[in-house]
Amino acid sequence: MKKIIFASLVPNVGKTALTIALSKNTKKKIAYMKPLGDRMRYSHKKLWDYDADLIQSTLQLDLEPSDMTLGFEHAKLRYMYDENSLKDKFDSHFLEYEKEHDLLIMEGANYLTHGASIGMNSLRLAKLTKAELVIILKGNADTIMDELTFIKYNIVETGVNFKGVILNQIHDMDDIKSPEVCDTIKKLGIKVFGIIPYDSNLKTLLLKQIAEDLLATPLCAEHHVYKYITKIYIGSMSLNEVMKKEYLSKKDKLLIVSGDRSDIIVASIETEASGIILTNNIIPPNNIIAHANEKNIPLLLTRDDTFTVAKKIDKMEALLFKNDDEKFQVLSNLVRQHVDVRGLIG
Amino acid sequence: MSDIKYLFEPESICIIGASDKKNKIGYKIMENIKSGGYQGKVYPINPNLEEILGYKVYKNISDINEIDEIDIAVIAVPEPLVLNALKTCPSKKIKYVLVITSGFSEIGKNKEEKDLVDFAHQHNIRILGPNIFGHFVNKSNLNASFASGNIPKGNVALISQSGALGSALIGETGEENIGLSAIVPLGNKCDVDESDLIEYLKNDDSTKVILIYMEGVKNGEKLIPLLKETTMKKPVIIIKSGRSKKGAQAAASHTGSLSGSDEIFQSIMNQTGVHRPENVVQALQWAKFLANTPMPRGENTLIITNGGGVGVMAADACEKYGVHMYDNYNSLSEAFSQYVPEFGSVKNPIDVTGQVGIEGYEKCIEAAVNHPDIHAILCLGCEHALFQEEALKTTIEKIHNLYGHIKPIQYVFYGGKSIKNAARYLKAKGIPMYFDVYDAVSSLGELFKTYRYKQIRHQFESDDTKGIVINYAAISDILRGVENDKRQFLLANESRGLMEAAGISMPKSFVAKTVDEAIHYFNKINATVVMKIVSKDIVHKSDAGGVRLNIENEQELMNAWEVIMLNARKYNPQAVIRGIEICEQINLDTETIVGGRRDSSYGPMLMFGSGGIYVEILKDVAFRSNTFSKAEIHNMLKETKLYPLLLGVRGMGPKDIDAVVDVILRVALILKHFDQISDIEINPLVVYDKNCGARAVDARILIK
Repeated sequence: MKKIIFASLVPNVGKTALTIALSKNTKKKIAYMKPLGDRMRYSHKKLWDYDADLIQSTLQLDLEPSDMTLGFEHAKLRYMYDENSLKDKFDSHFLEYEKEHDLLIMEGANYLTHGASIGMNSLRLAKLTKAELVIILKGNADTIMDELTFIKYNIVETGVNFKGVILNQIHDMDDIKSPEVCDTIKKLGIKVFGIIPYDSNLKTLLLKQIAEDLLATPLCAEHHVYKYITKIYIGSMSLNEVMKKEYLSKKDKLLIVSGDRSDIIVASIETEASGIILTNNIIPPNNIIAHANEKNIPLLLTRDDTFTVAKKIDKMEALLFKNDDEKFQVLSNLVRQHVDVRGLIG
Repeated sequence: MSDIKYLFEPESICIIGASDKKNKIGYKIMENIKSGGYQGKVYPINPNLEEILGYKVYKNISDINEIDEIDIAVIAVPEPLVLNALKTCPSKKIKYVLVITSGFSEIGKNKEEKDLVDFAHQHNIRILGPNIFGHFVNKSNLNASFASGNIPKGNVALISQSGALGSALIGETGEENIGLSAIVPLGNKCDVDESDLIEYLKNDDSTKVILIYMEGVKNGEKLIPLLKETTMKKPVIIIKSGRSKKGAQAAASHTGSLSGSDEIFQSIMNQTGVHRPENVVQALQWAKFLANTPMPRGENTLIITNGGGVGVMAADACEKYGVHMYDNYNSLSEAFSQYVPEFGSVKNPIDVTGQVGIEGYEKCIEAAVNHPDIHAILCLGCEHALFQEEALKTTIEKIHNLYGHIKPIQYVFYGGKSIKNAARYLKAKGIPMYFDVYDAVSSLGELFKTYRYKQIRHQFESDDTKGIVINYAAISDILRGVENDKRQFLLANESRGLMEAAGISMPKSFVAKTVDEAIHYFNKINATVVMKIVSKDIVHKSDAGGVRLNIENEQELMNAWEVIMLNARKYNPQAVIRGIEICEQINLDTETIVGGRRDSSYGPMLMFGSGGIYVEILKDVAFRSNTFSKAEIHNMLKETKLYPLLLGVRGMGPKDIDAVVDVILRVALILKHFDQISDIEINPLVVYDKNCGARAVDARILIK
């Protein structure tokens, strides 16, 4: 069974998305692991990684998500594994996967050094499992050249089984394909398996993700959170000023506002916002909640103030969701058009 | 500080700001002093006058040569001159100063008012007011006020925090024919407060009832024990406004005092035996009745009526006000059959029927007075042809004179002009006559409350903490550590340590800093555990995802460890995490809440009620001022809706109430010994079956 580990120098480069997209562009039977989890989910005393659960569902794997991840937290992992027992654990997994799978894709840790102290960073795992290391990069031409150079002299030359890179979420394709960059790549001798352009459709946040990340309490219409948000507004102006702006005419909008701003809340409900985040733990009057419920507009209550909520949402990376077929299709097309799939996974 | 007696029994008085102008307060006060017949020495002070109403006027206090000391001074000068006027008082060693003048803290001039108090205290002077109308003391014939000159004399003392209402109550009491032994307004209560006045009045033989109007309590710790002492001697009736939020806000602006939680105040009234009427009318009815009615020797009431309908109303009223109706049919039959027509009734209410006039009542009343098991009598009547106004007056007056001092007897007659005339006449004579049966029974209910309270009160004074062992030194150490850390709340392990030192059982628990420690402690506890984050930066553990329940094996424990740690770091990345508490999970049974807090108005308070996560929704709690009496604590428990559950319902056995009482006593002792503790809350305190104890699942403790 071929083994590949997708690694990254920084978080959120699209490792999981690429895994899904590759699976849709090959006939090979793919198994998946994410040894060091970072998107923890917990229910009924079981623990699993969000990405593992997504992959399991999308690829319809027979494996349990909770088995695909060894753990999340250093203290626990340090307690459970030393180098030998870690290797034994992987070996036992591989034995199991080999029976029915052609390829194992392992998703490395969040960023390059994550898990180093417990022997679970991507480089270490690549050596331990003898997997081929593919590093996913994103950014502009300068940062990518920096990272490629770094990879050459700090990773490739350590003797790890380095296979190549994929450049992902590239805004300026011309810039990346410029002679300067190509020369650098050629001189470094690093294999580039693909340069995938940025697609804004993949970056829209789902209201459900926002609600979960904020630990918001739904006051109504909680089953109507599967909506994409294209515009986010903070309800700070008076209603008169709001009506002068284009805000009210926008669909798919998310409003962040303190729960006592009944005027803005009602205006947003009337103009069919996708959802409203109510801040400062202030619950609006019951009639407003009922009105939102009638219109299937979720009201999501948080303890945080408006500024904190806005900051948190601003930092959020859009996750893929199960049944997100539209996005999966976009991903699949992008990979098919821009990645040497055969060269990568055979 | 001076004996309060000087305020009530002064032998000399000076009036700074006395006036000869009839529209001035300074004149009115002089006029009332004179007309009231005060026999002590009077010294009006006014730099521009020689004489007022036959009294020699002095330009200054220092000009008074004939006497070295004056007991009280009344200051009735404009606000800017008050302090200077006060400064003249030490020269005559004045003990009490009544500051009539307004315009101090009630309008926000707190500094000016404080300056008065500071000066006064430096010179051993007490201040009544400011912002009062003066005061009246019957036994001294002293009316040093600008209120009415016609104050009826009697045995009810009136203390009022509202000048206007106090002044109006003088008129109201006159209308109700309630005589007053003293009227003392508190005004802004900058110095002398109700406790000082009650201290005197409780021992004053001329006062039979103390009636107080108050808007706020400043020093509950002083007031509460004093009320307990006083109500054993004479009834205390308190009208306290600020029951509603609006009322509380209005009170806040009225005299600059804020009312504390009304539920707590009501609990304290129950605890101290104070009567709390709904309104002024009720207060006056109760005052009059309680001042002039003999104490019953039991709790059985007999109703005598000439109409079934009004008898039923009376029975309803009795149920509402907790008045027990005597129900021994055989005894009633034996005593009353001979006086009741055959078609009447000798059940209680005794129905003498409309066939008898007021004379028919007389025999029944006499029989009731002589009946050893009847302790109070309520006579009801509906007007009919046989009722004559004059007969009503003479007969009831005669009955009252014969029997009114033996047992409580009340009268309620419904009818037209002649009945009303007779009723007014009898009321004016001080006979307990009412225009509605509910008014009568409400007064009777208060009388019985006093009776009951006196019967059992001694039980509430006991100190039942003997034998309770608490490790005060260990608690001191814990609190010192918290203070050194500049925190105001105890961490979970500290709360646990305090509970253990107090002898309050909590589940076994340890704080693990690493996974292997957690596993070690899990195995040590050897039971299902709960895991909770321990961090001074994370107070609401559940909100932070820092709590996991039902951990039954090592794998689950390790998973939970990961979850808790990562959630905590996500919730507050800067949080200093001391570890994870591994805590024995206990079986839930009846969840209660036990609390203790240091209330800013009332001092140390205890609380008990239905506990768990819905405590703020159910709000089924009762309060007490800090007590060490098991009987008092039991009484507190009985005030909750939870109590019947503790006794056992629907086939379920009783719970271990003794264990609950023991925990509350321990909390009371902790509050007493540690001033720095502002709040203790045990929620839930899980109570098991009788003899199986109670366990505190969680405790939150705050320090000042």
